[in-house]
Amino acid sequence: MSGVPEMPEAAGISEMSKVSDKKLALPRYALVDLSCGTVEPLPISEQYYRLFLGGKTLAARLLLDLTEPGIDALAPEAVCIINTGPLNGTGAPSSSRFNLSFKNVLTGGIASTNCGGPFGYSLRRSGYDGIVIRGAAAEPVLLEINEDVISLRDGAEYWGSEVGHTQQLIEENLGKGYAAFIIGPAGENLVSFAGVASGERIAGRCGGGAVFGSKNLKGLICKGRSREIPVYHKEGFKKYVAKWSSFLKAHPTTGSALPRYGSAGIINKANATESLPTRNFSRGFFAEADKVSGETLAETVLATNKGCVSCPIRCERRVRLENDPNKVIKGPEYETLGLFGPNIENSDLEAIIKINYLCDELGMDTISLAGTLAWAMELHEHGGKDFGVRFGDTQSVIDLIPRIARCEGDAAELARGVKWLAAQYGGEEYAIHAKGLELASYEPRRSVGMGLGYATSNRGGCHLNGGYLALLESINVLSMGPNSPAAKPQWTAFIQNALDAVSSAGCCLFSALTFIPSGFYSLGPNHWFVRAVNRILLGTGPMMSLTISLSSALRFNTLFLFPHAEAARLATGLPVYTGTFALMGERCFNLERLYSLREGLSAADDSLPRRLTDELQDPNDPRSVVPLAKMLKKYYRVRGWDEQGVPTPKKLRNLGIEGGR
Amino acid sequence: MAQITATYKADLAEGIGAKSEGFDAATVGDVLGQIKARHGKDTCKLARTMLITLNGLSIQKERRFATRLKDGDVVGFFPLAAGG
Repeated sequence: MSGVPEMPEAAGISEMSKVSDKKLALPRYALVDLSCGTVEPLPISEQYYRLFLGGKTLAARLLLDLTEPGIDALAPEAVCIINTGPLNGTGAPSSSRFNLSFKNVLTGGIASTNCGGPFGYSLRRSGYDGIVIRGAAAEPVLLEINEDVISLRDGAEYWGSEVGHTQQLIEENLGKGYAAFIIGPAGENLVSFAGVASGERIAGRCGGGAVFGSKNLKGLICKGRSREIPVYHKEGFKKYVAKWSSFLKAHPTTGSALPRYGSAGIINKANATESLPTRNFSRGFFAEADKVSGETLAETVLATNKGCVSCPIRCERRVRLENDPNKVIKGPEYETLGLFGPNIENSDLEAIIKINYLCDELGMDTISLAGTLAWAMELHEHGGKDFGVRFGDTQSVIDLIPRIARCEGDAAELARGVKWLAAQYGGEEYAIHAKGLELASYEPRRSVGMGLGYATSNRGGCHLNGGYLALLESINVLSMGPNSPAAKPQWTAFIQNALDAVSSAGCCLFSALTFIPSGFYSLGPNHWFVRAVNRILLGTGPMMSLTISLSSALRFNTLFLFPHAEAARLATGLPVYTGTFALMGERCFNLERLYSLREGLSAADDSLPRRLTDELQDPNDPRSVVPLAKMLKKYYRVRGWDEQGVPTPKKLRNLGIEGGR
Repeated sequence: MAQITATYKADLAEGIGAKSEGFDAATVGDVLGQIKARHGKDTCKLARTMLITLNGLSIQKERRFATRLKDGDVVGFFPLAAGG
């Protein structure tokens, strides 16, 4: 293998080096080559640990180091990385999330997906912090991690099985105690938006399942119980975790709304602010939205809520099907409800639950699939090819989904995603994607910062990687100028960095939703003070620019802003502070950008479909479009990128990531 | 005065013991005033802090509590916090 090069010193890192007397617990990684069946250690240097910490940041660095430019996402030489962060499995709140990074099948740039369920915790307990996979097996295999022993097993028996059935077979054949991270038939058939499932959670976006399928890898199974997860300051960490958990439980979003309604609770808020995608993003309001809302779901089909390991939020919905009330299954998230609801003009909640279940079992991303089908519905209305699906007709969708997962007939074309389809059949103006990844369920013409986020997100049309400005603009207590570009570039960059840092630490992004102070909810959105805050926020652009550029100077930690930073400091023994934590996120965002640029993406890909930038959502409101060009220019400047969206040498030097491939 | 319907969700519906009620009111503020008269100060305080909609759309786009109502309007009260 090619080694990982030494990196120059970055801002804030020299101070880190002064700290520890106790030995740091460096992450332990293994490199598995499926072509030749070998396993070898992949040393992670102390310098890499200090700079990149773990999760998607370290994975982006390794992808740049370990792959040659231009490799096809589904070629044997392609590399995928499954890794954790330093808080995974420590008992820190919402810390069961792990990362899967690879070359994005839909965009050709970077992909990193964040997943819950039992696998990440089990991997860390096994003694490994990350597994790097390259090559392709000749026959289907399962990669087994049994404590610290890694081996390959014959996977032929599992190939062709759906996710739930595969998990059941693994338990029958190998006994209890294995956590699986596996694909369904969609991944095996190289569906471009196939995901990989951990329990009932799925690393859904960008086609990681197809990467597994291309390697003849049904999945990883892990039995991990023996390793004590390293925590540097044990007593301090324990006390801090208790305090942080109480804080999460007391906050209106993480302590009340998410446990009660899950992410599905967004539906009515997005609808009220015309940011709920309706009829393939042609509108932002659906008169029957409440029928598929989190509140209705809670009143009708909810059996209970559930959480991942060590998560006090417990956002997962467990629901009963009307015709089989004894069976309790995972319920749909907001994205699935929005995109298989209003966006295809459907108000049948039961149908969405069935679609969600089907997609989970087949191993497919509901966001990309829904976006693709909505485009196909509209294409037919414009006289284009008929794929057999219609707005409002959920049965046609339910019938088609298994055919897409198995790439049968014409359905195989739908398995390529909306960008490819629009290039073949037209309808590019209403092919709702960014960089090739279909958009999540936020209509950005009433949340323009979210539009900027979609366009600049490294993995494509993702709300979370995009900075999730909708949270400040339209779906929560604040209403920060939903149609104003003011301060949006700065806030987008700042939150993009923050969310990358949280993810790299191994935590769920929901644990970051507490940055909106609880007091605002007691006042409500119509109170004069909250309205004043909305106006003030629009003037904070220069302050946010300064915050980003001087972040390494922010040497403090608070429970309010980044509780993760203090937890990471206590867990690792590294001097992680609010500023250095944000800087690590910025490092991540730039590394991912460098990877995508290396693979041929450019500023031209920081774009949105014409429907969102040129067609008014409300013909009587000239501001009801995304003023992307205006925001983008400013965004590049805030990021320290040149006019072509390329990070400048100065920026890379400041971040300590110049050099390398 | 317009004859309107108010719909309630979450804690407000539980507190009031109903999912909807009818009102004769000229503005959203009138509806809140009548909620206070019928169900008490605390219930009204809770209602004021919720997401309030007129026929599904937030009153933030209109004149907030001064938003005028017409016969048949539906004023909705939804829980505010959300994320995902």
